Amino acid sequence: MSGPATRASVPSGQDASTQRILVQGRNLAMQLCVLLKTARIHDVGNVAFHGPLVNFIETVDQLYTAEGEFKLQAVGDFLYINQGRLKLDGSSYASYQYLIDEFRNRGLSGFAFAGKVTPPEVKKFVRLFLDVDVKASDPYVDFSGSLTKLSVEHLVPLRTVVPQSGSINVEEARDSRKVAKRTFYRAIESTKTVMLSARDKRPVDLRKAKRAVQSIVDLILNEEFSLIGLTAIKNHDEYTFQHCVNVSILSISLGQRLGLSKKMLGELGVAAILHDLGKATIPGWVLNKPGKLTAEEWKLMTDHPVQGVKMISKLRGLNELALRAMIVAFEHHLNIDGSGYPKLGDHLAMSLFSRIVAIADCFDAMTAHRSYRKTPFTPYEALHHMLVANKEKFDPLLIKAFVNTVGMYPAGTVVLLDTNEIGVVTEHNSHEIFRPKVKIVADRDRKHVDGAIVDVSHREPGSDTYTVGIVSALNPEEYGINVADALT
Amino acid sequence: MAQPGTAKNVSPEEKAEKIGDQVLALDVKRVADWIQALVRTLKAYRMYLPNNPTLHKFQSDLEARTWSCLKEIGDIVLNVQQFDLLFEDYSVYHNAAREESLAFRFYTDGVRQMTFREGLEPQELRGLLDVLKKATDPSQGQDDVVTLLWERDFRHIEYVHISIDEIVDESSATQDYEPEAGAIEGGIPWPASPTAAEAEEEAPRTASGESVVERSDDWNPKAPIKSSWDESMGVQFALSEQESKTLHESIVVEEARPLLNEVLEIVAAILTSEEEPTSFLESASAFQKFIELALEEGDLARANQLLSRLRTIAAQRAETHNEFRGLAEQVIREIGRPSFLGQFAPILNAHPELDPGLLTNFLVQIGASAAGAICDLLGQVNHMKHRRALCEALAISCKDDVDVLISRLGDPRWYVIRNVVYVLGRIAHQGVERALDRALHHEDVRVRKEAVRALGNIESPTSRAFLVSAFRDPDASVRIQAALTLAQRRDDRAAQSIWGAISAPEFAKRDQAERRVFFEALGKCGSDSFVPRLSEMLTKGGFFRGTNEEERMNSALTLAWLGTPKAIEVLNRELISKREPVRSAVEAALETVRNAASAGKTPRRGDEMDDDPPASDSPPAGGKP
Repeated sequence: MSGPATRASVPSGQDASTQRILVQGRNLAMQLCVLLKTARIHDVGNVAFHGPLVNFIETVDQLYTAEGEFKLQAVGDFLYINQGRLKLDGSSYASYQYLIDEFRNRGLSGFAFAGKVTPPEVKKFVRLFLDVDVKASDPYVDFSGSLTKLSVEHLVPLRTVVPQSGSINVEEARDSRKVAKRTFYRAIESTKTVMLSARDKRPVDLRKAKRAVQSIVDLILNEEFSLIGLTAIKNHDEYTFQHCVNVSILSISLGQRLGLSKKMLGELGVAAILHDLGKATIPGWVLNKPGKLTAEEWKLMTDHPVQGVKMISKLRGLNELALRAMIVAFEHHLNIDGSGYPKLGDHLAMSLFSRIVAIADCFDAMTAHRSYRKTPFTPYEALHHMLVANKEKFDPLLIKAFVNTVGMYPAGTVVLLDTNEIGVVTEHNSHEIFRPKVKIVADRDRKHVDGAIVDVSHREPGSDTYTVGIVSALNPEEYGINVADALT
Repeated sequence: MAQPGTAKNVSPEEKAEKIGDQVLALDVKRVADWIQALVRTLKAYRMYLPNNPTLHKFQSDLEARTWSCLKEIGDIVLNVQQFDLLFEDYSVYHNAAREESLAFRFYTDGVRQMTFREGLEPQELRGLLDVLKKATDPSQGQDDVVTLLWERDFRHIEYVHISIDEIVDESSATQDYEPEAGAIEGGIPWPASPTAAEAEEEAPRTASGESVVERSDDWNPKAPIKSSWDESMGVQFALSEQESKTLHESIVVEEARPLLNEVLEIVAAILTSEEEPTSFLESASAFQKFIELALEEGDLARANQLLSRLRTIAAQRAETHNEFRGLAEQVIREIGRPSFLGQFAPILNAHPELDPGLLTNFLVQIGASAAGAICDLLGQVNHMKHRRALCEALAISCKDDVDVLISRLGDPRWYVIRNVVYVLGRIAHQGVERALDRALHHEDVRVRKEAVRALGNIESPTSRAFLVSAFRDPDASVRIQAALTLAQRRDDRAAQSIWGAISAPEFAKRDQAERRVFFEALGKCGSDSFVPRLSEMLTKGGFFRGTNEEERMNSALTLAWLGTPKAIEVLNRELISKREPVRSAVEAALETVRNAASAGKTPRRGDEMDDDPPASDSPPAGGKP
């Protein structure tokens, strides 16, 4: 798909002004969404419309002052403000998706803001936008003509760029990706709700987490789209919750490989989501302390499995699921070699679920940004540490099964191919754990490209020779590669 | 059926419509009947054991209706409303009672449509019943219906549900939670990344010389990382057949894991390791939840065991943390709260087999704080042996404090008062006589009788006075009970009181059986001082003078029951009397007493639990002194 494309996104560590524009872009998108939704209920002359209108105009004003003419555009499943992709998170997902769908229905990719806007102009724009006959042969033309007729000059519609080839397959693939992403972000939202409720001692509705996990299990069982790839996108703002969902996805994937029943996968997924619930009781400054911990802080930190047990015990009903979750919360920092914590009583052997979650937890935690470590490990490095330096800590059979689940170059790993191209691993091949699918992100001249997905397990026809091979894993930051772009 | 001649007036379209309506009406009825059969079977599941023939009958009927329905109608689509299930927009099930409504149960979990496809298999139908049973059983925590359906993965049963958010929106039960700005930073920010400067600013300073440790969740590389894998290593990551088998076995082990026991061990270990009172209380509260769970599941043995364990741990910890014992007791008292114990009645009613001894033991362990809740249970529990266990628990727990029991004497339910009176009698606490006197004037005769029995257990002049006052009760059974109860004291004062009643003018108006019991009672507690008077009554009248033969019989019987040498001397003398009525009276009296003695019991007519009503209106029988 063309458009601003992947290079347009802003790599992490961009300057403050870019970050500010992205924040304002997010506000703009959210406000436009509120504006359109309000106008569906109330007339634009209604007092209820006034607040959203003022907010929207103010944001346009700020952006125009900073950037001059700017664009809000949908490309694929993302929104862009000029060249910067707006960061997707649980709380913005629904609003962004609403705008993308509304734009798409009208044959629009978005709008250019050609100047500061006035209330009458925005009101006319909103009315016309909502009045567009989406069933018309070319709604864009109708809408564009109406805007011109009513002298709406500062909001310029931009036409959708039609995909070039394989429309049906592209659409299908896009839909399954969309479902996967929706599932993923909803799971993060549900986890957030559950954890915040538990933290604030409000009643916890576990049904949300259960439903989220059920969707994840269904997706994994149907193998429609690799959710593991999504776990490699670390969104710092929501990471606390995303970590829980990532651990759940990785655990379910591993559980599926082991042959767990659907019911057990559901229970494993929920237990994994709740594994760090006890961290809700640890003060932020301890969790985020960049340096070493004092004995007291360490005690707090190592107490979170116990706190998790206590918090889960407060949930309504102590059914099988809750019991499994308590065991996992208690055991997930214990290691197979007897190390780890908490050390209480003569604890029996770790449960299978706990051993699974311990692996998934470690893998995801190592690949996340930490306040006390400048750069996270890449998925490749994380796996390397788990398999080599820390292998005695994990169940040897499960770690093998895990490797077979995520591959030796897990999704999100940046690799140098023997074609001298650089790519990001998007998905592993279960039959060839060293040979995943790789999206090309830089050509042999090290220029960023929105390249094709290459299957490294592919062989020359009639030959045993692979068409392409992996030379080495790379550090994405050294090459200015944004892994998230390739994975979404 | 259309009547002859009427068809002419109906257009083909109308006729088709009419036929269509009739078919629809038939279908609606079929589906309604089928749902009824489903509900009936569900109830039967709760009432009968799995091998019960009645349950099998219900199951067979349901299966027959299910296959017939699907065959006649095809796929059945039910739309779920709050209290209704709709088929083709007609309600085929309505139940507005939230606790038992199937529709409401579906609706609250977000299910909006259920489709039953042709080809539904018997095991799927049984699976559905299992789902519904779990979803509607309060003791199983009423698990989420959607989750239960999802886990089953039915091939021929489909469901449509809305998201939890939509449920919340619809019911407006709770507001969407909007965390305040910065709220996340306050609690679960891990691993959000504030700047190092911020973190240092907020963190308390480390005291000089304080030890520092590594991050728990850090994984510093101990070995250099190679930039690529050697593909030949692939072999070592391939799972062998034996390894796959081992993993499969570990799944089997996981499925059969004794989860509850393991979690209990974890919670006990946590409790044992606590150092702070607040943490100890928190862990003890987790323990409390498991005790309550055991109770909800009717597992009294486990509940008792857990209670004992909590106390044992608290006692051990009290050696260094004295306050922990009190905290454990605080948690245990909490179990006795009425809102919780009140839920226990249906469980007791559903499980008549529960061991009353274990029940008593458990309630006694909770202590006197549960007395109010136990009194409430007395009004709800159906099985007599359970009520007896409850009374036993009250008698032990309230031994030193009967105020709760006394306050319950004002309960509007006579049977609750009767049980409480019984317990007061068991405790036999001096000072409760006045309260029992109130019961002695209760409008229900069963309460008054129980009050008489209770007063009989209290050795005090006041109780004696109240017992004597019961001789004036309008009901004969109460008067009889009072006489027998008083007679049990076997002292002359009791005998004098009974003689006083016998001598009163109104005594002659009592019925014959009552009069006889009073004489018997006198015989059981009297002494030689009454022999002359009884002897005179026995021999009253001459050959030609008529006398009260009933009085003669009663006096002979009283002498026989007295059984003192002096009384026997009189009886032996009159046994050879020339007057046949006197002789006969003595012979009959001796026969009666001999029979009673050979039966090994004394006549106890008034001591029996007469008119013992069924179900919840009965006090505990037996166990009485």
